[in-house]
Amino acid sequence: MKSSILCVCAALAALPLAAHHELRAEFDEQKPVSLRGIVTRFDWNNPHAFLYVDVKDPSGEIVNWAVEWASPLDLRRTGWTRDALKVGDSVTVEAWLARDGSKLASGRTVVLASGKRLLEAPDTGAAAETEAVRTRGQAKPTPRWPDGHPRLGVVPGEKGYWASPSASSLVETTAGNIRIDHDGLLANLDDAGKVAPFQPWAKGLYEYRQRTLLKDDPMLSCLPPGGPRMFQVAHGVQFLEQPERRRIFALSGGGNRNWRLINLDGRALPQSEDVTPTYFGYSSGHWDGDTLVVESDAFVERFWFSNGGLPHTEALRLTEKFSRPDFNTLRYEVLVNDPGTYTRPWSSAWPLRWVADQDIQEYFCQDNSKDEPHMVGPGAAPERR
Amino acid sequence: MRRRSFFCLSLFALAGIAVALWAQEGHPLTGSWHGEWHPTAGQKIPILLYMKWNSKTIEGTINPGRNAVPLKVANLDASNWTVHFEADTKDQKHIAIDGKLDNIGSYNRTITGTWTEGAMKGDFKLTRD
Repeated sequence: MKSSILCVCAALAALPLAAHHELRAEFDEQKPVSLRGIVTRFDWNNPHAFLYVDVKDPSGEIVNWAVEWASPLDLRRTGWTRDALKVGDSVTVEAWLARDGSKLASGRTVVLASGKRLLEAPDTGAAAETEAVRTRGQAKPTPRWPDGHPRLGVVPGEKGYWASPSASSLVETTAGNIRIDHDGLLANLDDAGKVAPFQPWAKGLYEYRQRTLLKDDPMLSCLPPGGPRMFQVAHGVQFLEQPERRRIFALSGGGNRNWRLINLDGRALPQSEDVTPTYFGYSSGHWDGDTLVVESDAFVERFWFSNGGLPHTEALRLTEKFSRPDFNTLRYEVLVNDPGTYTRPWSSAWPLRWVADQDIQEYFCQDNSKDEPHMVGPGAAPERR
Repeated sequence: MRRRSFFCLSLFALAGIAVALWAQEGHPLTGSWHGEWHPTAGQKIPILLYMKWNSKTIEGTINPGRNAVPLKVANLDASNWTVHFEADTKDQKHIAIDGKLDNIGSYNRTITGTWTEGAMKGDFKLTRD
């Protein structure tokens, strides 16, 4: 039991909260600021909640600061509600300053006059314990369809979805221990060559994206997380199985609730010249025992197929394997074959956890996106340039 | 009627090409690049350079169309993002292009450097469409 709790703790610690943008590209954690003032507005929208506070500066002038927070989907887990802060409330906000020097900050905590304290990120220890309690009966066996195949989605009458991937970016299975954060940023850029068997141009581009703190991530423009990234982003994924129609939909709780179709009717993948490439490609799958094997190709190049900025070309072809060894575990494996970008096929794998009694929530990145203009100014992380 | 159909078909074909070439995120050189080079001060010669990464080499054409000039050499050094291209025009002028790729994370990245064509030499700038 202890090991399973530890496992869940680790999984939650890796939970990618910054669903929309890489926090460190926009804000400088080395520049904390304490803002004491009066709430003038509170926007409870995806991808980020915004709190506006009138703060008296040292000269006595009132300055209106914008404080960005995580998505309401994440904040709700830490005890926030849409009415948590009201216009006129007196607050003290601890935050990180924006790199572009504007009156924008990334909120860490806010304390109300009553002493009530709200956090940006969940208390992972408490959240993990809650999660562990929820999944304590995890000896439950794999649910199955009448034909014997594992159910990848919900059992009728229940709720749930897959989240908390143990890996938040794609790294070759044989890479060994590489320190990488939940956005896919390497702790040590010298490890870049271990992440995947890059062609020289692709390694150069990956390193550039890492050095610039992933500021060019197409997800900042609200483009979808195609490929394996669908199984790395915050807010989870759900499978909607239609065995009578021999197909499965994978529904993303991140991105913009994008969906992906996996055909199970034996059809061949289309010839690349016959189709327009897409973000999620074309997928055809079959069951190999208890494992769903899915081949996909015809991907457009306009997205990153993993957190961390791994490049790909239209030659990308994926072989994914999905299995559910027990009720609460989804094992995801992917073989990446892109001769335009990598010197050989390579693979990666990680588990996702079942979030019981909840559904994926509505999330639209365009709802209140204000990040892109602030991304990485001239003073950004010079140590990584 | 026939002329109108031809016009419509042409329009669709152009739109198709535009979509196909638009905003690729894969190999940094892939796509259409527009710009000009300056053999003398004040003289501007427009350039369209189309390049495509075929998984092993960079294929490219200067000014696609009737006066197209295929690239014979196209190299990218990803350690410093410099490029070197060579081509020969129909009238046997040798073209050598040396430049540096900048702002590579942007769809509209640029290449700037020196364009040599026969005895003429000048600076150039290309921006990816």
